[in-house]
Amino acid sequence: MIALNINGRQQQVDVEPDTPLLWVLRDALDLTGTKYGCGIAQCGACTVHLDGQPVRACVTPVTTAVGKNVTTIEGLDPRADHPLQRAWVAEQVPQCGYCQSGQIMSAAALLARTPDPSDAQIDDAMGGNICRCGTYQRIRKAIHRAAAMAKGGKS
Amino acid sequence: MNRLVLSRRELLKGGAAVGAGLVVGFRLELGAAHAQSQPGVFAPNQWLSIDRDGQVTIVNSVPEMGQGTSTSMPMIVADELDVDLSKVKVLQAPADPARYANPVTGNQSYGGSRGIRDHLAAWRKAGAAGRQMLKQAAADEWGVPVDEVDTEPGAVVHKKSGRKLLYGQLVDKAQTLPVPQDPRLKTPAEWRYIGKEYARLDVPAKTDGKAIYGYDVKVPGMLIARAVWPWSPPARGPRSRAGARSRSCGTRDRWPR
Amino acid sequence: MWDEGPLAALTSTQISQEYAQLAGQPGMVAKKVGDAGQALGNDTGKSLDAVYEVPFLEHACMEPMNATAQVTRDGVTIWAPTQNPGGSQATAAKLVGVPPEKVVVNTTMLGGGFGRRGEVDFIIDAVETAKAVGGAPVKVVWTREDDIRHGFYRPATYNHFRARLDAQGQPVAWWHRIVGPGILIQKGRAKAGTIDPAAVSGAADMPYDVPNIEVEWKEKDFGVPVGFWRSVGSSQNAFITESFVDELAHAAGKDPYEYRRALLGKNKRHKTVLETAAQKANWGAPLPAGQARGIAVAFSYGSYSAHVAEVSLTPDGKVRVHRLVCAIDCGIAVNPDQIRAQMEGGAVYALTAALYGQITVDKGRVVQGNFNDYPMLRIGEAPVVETHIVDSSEAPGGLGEPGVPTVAPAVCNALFLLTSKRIRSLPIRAEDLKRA
Repeated sequence: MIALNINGRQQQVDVEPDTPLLWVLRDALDLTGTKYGCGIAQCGACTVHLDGQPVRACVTPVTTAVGKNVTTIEGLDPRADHPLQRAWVAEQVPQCGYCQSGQIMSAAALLARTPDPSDAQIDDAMGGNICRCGTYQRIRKAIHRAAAMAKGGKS
Repeated sequence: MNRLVLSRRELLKGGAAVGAGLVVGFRLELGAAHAQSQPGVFAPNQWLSIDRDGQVTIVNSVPEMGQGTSTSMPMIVADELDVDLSKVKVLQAPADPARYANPVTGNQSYGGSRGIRDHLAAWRKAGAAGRQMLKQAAADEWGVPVDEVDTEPGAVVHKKSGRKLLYGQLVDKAQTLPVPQDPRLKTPAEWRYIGKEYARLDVPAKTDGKAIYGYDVKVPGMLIARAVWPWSPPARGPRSRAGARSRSCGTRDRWPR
Repeated sequence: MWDEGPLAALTSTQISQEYAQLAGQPGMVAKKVGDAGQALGNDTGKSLDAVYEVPFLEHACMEPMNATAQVTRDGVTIWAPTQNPGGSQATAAKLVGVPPEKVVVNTTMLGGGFGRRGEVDFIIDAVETAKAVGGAPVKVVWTREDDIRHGFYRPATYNHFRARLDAQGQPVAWWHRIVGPGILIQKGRAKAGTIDPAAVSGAADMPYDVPNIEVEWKEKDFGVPVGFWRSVGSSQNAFITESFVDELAHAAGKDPYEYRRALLGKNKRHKTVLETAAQKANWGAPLPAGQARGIAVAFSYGSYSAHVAEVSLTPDGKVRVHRLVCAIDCGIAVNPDQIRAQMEGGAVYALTAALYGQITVDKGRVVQGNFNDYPMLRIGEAPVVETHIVDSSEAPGGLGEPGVPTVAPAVCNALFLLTSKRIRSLPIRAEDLKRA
């Protein structure tokens, strides 16, 4: 059994130690908001936080997460009311939506360290997340909007 | 997941009714669904139903692949039916070509940017037929000519006398009326949703991880399998099955890498 | 061990070479106005001759193919991200030997479709596997590599163009021969030996007034599975046609926008989107140094679209698209914000193909397998897309596809102004843009 802290809850999982965290989340813990897109850390659909740092869960062995706080899209905000989630709705970002959990998790990590990012900082932080529907310009707007919200500006 | 699972009996009835009420260029089979719906549910066609509590359910036949059909389709029906879209339940249609085939292609396969393009006329007519029947039901109830009554979202009103009946109160009466084959459509000036910005209904679930895609499907007792292929698509030879393996027998190579 | 099949030695080079040879033979005539052959022989004005090629492309939906199925005595239940619930039902019914009514299809959210999920191959996987395990539901998942290597690809085609201008630079002959496979024919949905409508759409309906036109299609199918890729025939034919008409404009010494406009006489809706895009983009106004504009217009899937692209090159020769101004006439506009969303998405999809998209075949196998060798446009490369919806009460047109066709030609037409190099083969390669 491997002990994990997922979204603030202690969980025990019975998996091989080299199982990628992605499949532990999805198959063992039913947290399917984190997506499989490529399996080789190229697309970012599986982005989660380990102690606040964005990682690609598809190439992160579950043992790497032991002793760390794992945050998934389901645990980003207890009421799904994170400024980014509100901004994503306000800007009508998602189309198919499959990549958006990963996009939001990457953006959340960005805002945590850079509360008011420039376009260049957004491009840099979000460059690992592919959106095949091409929602990039709305993602950029939504991150700016969330940054403004967090500062107490427009909501 | 928005998913409609009709009973098998209902599915068969739908199938049996093929052609019964077919109107040229308008494959709505008006009347078929109507005649067969359950007591207490007003279902003038396959695209919408209203129960006695006033709950409106709209069934969309076009899959949501990001293009926004799960919002645009109910916008169109809700507009002509005159109901508040925020209170409408939207379901995804089952495979049932007899009811849900694209009226232009005649099949239930969606490509070619054919959502609104091929369905706008049918969906408007579906909503308008429902609205007209509800208006008639209220007019009959009040003993006034139908052209004296109007609707506001979810209700029929008679301005002269100040009377009002909610759609839910008219369900049983409306259900006994004939389905108009050529209902009056709203004019663009009367549209409440069509042509306006309306936030996508599927967006919240696509920001908190709750939207269910095929990859996320979980069915009790489900096995997970991967097909093993020849690498060459042109060869596309006989595919060997990896065989189904249960979730708990994992080795690393079973994870998609 | 696998049977490698009859195409085990097939390569992209071979495909390209055979296409080129076949382009010397007549094809089936998809469109004929006047006598292009004779008019090409005129000795007035300039003549043009060009070859355009486009590669196979994979859809690369973010969610790889998958489906879940359960086969019991009562029938079949399917849970799948499918564009084709009806086809899934019919296919499963046939495989299991039950009437279609005994097959329940639950359509989940689709993590992208783009035409790929209209196929039923992944449904077959799930149903056959479920049949084999006897009763339990089975989810069959594909890896990204499965997905890219077992696609139904946008056909690679080879195109030979010839044209003749009169002394004033007006085109008097337009001749276009397409060599490639037919999607509908390969799928048995069109008769072999006839013209596959999907192969010539966007080419045979070329909108310009030219007194002598001939568009031919020479069928050649190597057996690589082909399918409907967002905007299908128009995805390549608009690039080809709108690049070649740009060549005519430059050969005539005319402004590419005005040249098109004058040739769109009777095609009012084409003209309106072209004018709207040009005006909104301030066509003709100065741009920052090192930037140029290109324009293109097309009809596809019931809608009319035009794009103006503002493009520059980075010092290391990478194409940078700053802004795309799009005009779309889709008839009645039901949800304007989603129309804009489709134009934004279509632009990124098209630009990904123009800058990177290429599936190659070597020894009968698809070479690419994941996003490292089949790259996608990323946020830092994404242009601002500015959409202008033409006010219209016409019948509704499509939106998922019409945002794609005119992007690549608008970009390549801008690149010609920047580099004097005509891009006639996609994806755009840095070496094709180097000054001679």
